[in-house]
Amino acid sequence: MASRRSSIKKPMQNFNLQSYIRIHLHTFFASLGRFYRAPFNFMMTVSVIAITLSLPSGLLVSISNLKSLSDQIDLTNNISIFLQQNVTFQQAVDLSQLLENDDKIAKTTLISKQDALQEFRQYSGFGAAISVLNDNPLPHVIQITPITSLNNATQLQLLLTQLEQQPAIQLVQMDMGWLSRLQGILDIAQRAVILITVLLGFAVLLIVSNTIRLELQNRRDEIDITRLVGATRSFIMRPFIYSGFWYGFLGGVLACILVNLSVWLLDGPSSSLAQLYSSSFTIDYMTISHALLWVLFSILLGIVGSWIVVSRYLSELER
Amino acid sequence: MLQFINVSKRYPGGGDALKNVSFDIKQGEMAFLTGHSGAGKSTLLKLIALLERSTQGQVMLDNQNVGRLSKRLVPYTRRKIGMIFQDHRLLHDQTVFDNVALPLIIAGFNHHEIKRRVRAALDKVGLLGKEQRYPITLSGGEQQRIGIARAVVNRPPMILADEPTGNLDPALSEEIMQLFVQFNQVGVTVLIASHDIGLIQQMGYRTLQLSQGELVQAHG
Repeated sequence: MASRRSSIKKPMQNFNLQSYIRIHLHTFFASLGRFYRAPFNFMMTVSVIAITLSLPSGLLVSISNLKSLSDQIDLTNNISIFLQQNVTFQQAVDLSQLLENDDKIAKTTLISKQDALQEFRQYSGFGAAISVLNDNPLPHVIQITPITSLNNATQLQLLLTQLEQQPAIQLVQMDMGWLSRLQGILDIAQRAVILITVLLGFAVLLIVSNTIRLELQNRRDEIDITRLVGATRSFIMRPFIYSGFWYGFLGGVLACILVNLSVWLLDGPSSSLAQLYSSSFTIDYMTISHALLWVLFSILLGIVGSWIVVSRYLSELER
Repeated sequence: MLQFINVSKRYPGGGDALKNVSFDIKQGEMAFLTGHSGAGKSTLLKLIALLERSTQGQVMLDNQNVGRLSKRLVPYTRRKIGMIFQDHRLLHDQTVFDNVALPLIIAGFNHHEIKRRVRAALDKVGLLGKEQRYPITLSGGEQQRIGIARAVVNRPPMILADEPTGNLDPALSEEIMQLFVQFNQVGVTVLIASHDIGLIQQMGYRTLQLSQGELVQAHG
């Protein structure tokens, strides 16, 4: 009877790693078993989480694809100079040479009107129509790349005005303006997606909380009884935290599957569209590291969501 | 073992459930707690099991003032008390085995030890061979035995029973009471709340009688 007389054991004296792990494994499988018994309800919650998370993760994949598409285009501030129709090839060569010596210009490339026509015929799809023309309507073009230190709008504008004053030059055009605009839009979109992620993450938190709250209500008696026979707070919380873990984990995995499935569905049409533009662009799938991050994020939401509800519930009971 | 020193309990918005109650139950003693419904029997048991805390006075368990116990330690104190209820409080979606094993799982025993102890407890209450049945498929008396097996499986030094024979016929009641006598004979302290005066008098143990929250008589 000696053990019966022993005084109340303190938790830390009682601590035993083996039994701790045993309790965890028991709860781990017990929580899976519970889902096995009610698979429909479980899958419904998992699907809601997955769909909710697939929206921001899908948007991020689209944005990173658009970014990589725009990165494929050389992003230096190229300027195209269209010469007057009457400028001869020799004059164009001389002007190109002259511009090359300008210390604000890093590189010049001369595209003769014959080359330009050839290129146009090849890529525009108007080949047959162009053959009908008697003379070449295209001017000579000099493409210049300003030195890299020349990168702000005022300095570039100054160079542009300076070039436009040359009599041989008909039109000066900055090529990449639209591209930097596109990149600006993509940056805004990326930020918007972060906001959406925060909002929808909150939604997932609420979904998990609400599901766990219902589960708590269904298992009210069980909680009361386990408390009566000496269950600690963490023992009671554990199965619910595991439920939250499973909701988060499977929801996250399903979200990644949904996004990659959509990429797969879009990949075929988009690459045939890209081929029309003679580009080898293909949509990238979600990277493994991104997928892992999404799953981790989802697990975190699941655990936090259930933890909040269960600890609140137990605190009310213990009052 | 168990000591009440001038204990009062007042529920917020209600009257006094217990008024200045003092008594002492020694290690290895068996005692009954009687009184009409509403006399405060359940409240008294709840104070011991830490389901409620006293408004005044001290409840001492094993020389420890349980009223002062931190929330964190409450579960460890409860493990020293086997509780039995009139309505059994069983988990109906779990087998007899799992119901009885619950306190052991909570305490982190290994599978082998759990199996051994559950079988021993079920043997003691005469339910061996029904481990895989569900409580609902058993009779009221048998369900109460599951509750008793669960209360003793952890070998607690003390058993509290709240109207354990409330829903049973006299023959079954006596069988259940004999079980408690057997536990008491091996050294377990037993306190049973019951209003089955006939049965209690017949058994001849010490009786604490509550009336409107006051201890009116302690004899035996």
